[in-house]
Amino acid sequence: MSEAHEILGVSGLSVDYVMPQGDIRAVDDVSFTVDRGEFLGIVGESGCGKSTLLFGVAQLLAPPARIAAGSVRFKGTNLVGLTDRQLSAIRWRDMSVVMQSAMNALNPVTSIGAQFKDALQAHGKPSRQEIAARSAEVLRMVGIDPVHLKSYPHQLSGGMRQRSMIAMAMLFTPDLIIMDEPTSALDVVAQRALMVQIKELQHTYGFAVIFVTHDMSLISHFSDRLMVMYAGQVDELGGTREIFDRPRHPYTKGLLEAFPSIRGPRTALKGIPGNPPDLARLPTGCRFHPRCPLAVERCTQVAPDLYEVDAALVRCLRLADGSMSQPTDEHRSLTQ
Amino acid sequence: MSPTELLRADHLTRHFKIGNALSRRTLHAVDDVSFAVGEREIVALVGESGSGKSTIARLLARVYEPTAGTITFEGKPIKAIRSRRDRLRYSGLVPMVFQDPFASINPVFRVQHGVLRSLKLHRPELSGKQRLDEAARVFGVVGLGTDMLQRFPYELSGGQRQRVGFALALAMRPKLILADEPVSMLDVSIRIGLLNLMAKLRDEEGVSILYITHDLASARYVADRLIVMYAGQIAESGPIEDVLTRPKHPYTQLLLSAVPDPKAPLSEVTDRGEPPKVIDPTPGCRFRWRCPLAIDACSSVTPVLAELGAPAERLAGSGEASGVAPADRQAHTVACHVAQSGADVRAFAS
Repeated sequence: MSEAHEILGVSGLSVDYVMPQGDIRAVDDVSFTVDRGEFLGIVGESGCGKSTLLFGVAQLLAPPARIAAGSVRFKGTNLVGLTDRQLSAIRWRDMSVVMQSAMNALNPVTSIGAQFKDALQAHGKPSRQEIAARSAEVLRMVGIDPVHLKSYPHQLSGGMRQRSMIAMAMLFTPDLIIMDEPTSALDVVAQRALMVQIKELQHTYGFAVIFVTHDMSLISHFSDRLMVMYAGQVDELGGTREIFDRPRHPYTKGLLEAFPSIRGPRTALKGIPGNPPDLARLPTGCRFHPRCPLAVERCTQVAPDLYEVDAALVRCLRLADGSMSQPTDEHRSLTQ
Repeated sequence: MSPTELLRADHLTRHFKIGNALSRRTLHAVDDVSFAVGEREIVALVGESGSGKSTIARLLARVYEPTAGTITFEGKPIKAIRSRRDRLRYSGLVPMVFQDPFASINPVFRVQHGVLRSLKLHRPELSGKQRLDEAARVFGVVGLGTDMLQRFPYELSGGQRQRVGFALALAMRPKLILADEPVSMLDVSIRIGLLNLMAKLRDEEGVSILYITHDLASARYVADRLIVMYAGQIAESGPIEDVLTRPKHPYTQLLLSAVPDPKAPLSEVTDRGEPPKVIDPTPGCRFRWRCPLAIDACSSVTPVLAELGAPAERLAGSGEASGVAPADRQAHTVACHVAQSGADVRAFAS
């Protein structure tokens, strides 16, 4: 990955929620990069810090959350510490965000067109014709008839609302679009249609995508690289196909095994025992050890770093010291 | 009626009046739906949002009264259940488990409060001590420790709360649990545990479950039979492996092709349509606008659910429940003109 292709570089980012009983670290020392035109998937369970991380990247955190450490380099500029005015120039023009629930992200009392106009006028002084032309153009890009510029959000279906959010994010053809579970409120058919659409648009316009989801299987065919988060940390980061074919971290493995398959033999699955930890009362050592089938004594004491295993980064002591040879039969059985 | 049949719905219909005095319209949430649930059976009811699957659960739970059609439980029509005692008995035998475990448990009481209260209400013969023992027993069955009884809901995780939901249902010694999207709000890593619990309740406690979901893969994992709904009607039903390996209805094929599967190559899904809101519908197949195989008959005649190769079990519009022999519960039935004409339906590849 050369510097020239890198559009976003997050390094050592930590986000704290300031609480009266003490700060809670929701995102702990997260580093990753996104290249131009790349599709990065971020996967994790609720409370793993994936949404907080996105908000940190987009500089949208509000108290009690605050960035405790680290930097977010976007096209060469460190976004951490910029003023609102400086950020406004970048937001939406160079980087836009599609929120989880389009029902809440769109303003219910103004038409879609008025919201597009708002965004367009925030960056420059376009004429009325320019606004109308561009608004109609982006709606057409996502497959919605431009007559819906006059529609209010409640008049659109869930899928259309989500697609119009994406249209809005593309008003300025940004370099990076951040998406926080944009498909979670949709049915499977609409989900698939939206994923294909995002991919097509990305292909045509070349923007990079950071896509956060709790549903790993959803992005298996769409993302270039995958980052698995657990309890505020990166557990595994590598090529998507790589991770699906040969998951290394026991948590990633467990996540993949937790999905019943629609084809092949019906086999009994176990899921992952226990629950994700409370961030205010983290276990000692490896944060995953209480739920880990491979945990040994040392895992309860030593907090693992991210180790490079083959081409991927994995936070697991047992992989780092080679006490578990790779790839094991357990791993292989999973991918069959 | 087969000897193991527990519940049967015949021509079940529920309409809602919408609009105002100037524009009276009718939303057909559930239209002429017939199905049966046997003993010790998990039946998955699958469909997109707005397909009427939750309305069916509410009709079965008697939250709504049907506009037309009958529901028969253990051989007796539930419409005939009038007295408070009988109503109570029915709601104990057919309890619901809700989607949102954060909203369905009273947050101001300890978890045991709900279980003990429903035990007192539904099984008044138990003494206080027996109630506590029974609460501990059902908590054990759903995989929660006895210490959990004393906890407050906020101390529990989503998965634990949903187990409490099943424990509450189980305390009433149910025959059929209506589970409306019980795992869709839970994290992926703990969903499987709940699905396994449902299978255990069937196998060890002899409970039937109507599992309402939009997730075909999880339906395949636990269910014995599958009912696919589209726009208030049943599109296809049958033993789950049968339906999923040989889907006959174009809509079932579309649903199957859209399920994300990391282990298979990405299938082509060109469909960008959406399920219709069924307001004052005209006759015809409700899927025809999205169906690549639609023929003339699809826009004029509503297809009826029938076993392929067998004559249609009933004619469209014959609202009479009596005198019509219901199709075999285990039969693979489909409501599609093209499939019934004997053609090989391949609308969407999966």
